Amino acid sequence: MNGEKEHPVYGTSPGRGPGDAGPGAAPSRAAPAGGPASVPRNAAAARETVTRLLASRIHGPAGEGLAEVVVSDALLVTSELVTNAFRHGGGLTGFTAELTGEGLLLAVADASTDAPVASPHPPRTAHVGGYGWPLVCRLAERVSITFHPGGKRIVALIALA
Amino acid sequence: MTGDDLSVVVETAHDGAVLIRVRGSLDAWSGSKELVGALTGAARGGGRRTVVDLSGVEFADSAGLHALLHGRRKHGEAGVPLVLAGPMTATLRRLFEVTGTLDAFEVADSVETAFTW
Repeated sequence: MNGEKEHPVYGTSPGRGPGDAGPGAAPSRAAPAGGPASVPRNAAAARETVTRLLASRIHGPAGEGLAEVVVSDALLVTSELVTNAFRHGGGLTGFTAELTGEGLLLAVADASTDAPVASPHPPRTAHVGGYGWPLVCRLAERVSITFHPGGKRIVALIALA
Repeated sequence: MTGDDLSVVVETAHDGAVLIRVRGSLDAWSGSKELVGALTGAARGGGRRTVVDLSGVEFADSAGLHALLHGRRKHGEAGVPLVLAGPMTATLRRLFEVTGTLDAFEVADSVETAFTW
């Protein structure tokens, strides 16, 4: 009779988390100042969080930072999404910024189940309002919206290269 | 700078030209209304032209753009020329470029050039 038994292995197998990247590695995820449970109080605070996160990213052969336009795009998308959450979304209920292999992943949650709407203006007519959402869609590589009973979550990916 | 502070300073020259100096970040919280007020006032004032110095604007999103476009509309209605003066930061240039609104404005690369245009 075979006395050996197979024991199922419980618990997490060794995986890659933010702490596994090695000593001195740049943080890959940023939470707004005030602790992970808080959300940025306005667009400027959210931009500050993203700025700090991007500043830690070494990119390019000489170890230089990210291209100016990439930082601009990331800040613009951050600002628009957070502004919309407060202005049209019944309030910002969640905010995360994370560096992944694909780029900067921004997740913005709000308390409204209304979908973002782009104003139906013809392009290049310099109408006064309604630029925010089209700007997000143009600058982000990918945007997804997930609805749930209490609101929605918008995830935007900004390519960093 | 946290971006919460925005400063809008209006200077009127003796010949009636108006210079609006904007410093800081232009977003939905930082007092774009002040800029709208300054632009509306300048349009109503009937000066020979209004120059908006944007060289001190570190960041602007669509809320800031909205304020500038609103000001442009008011100036158009009043028949007062409006010129945006740079040099602009990369983010501001990117905002205009991606929204396709740069062509809606007269843009000069400096305040000095804006007044002599």
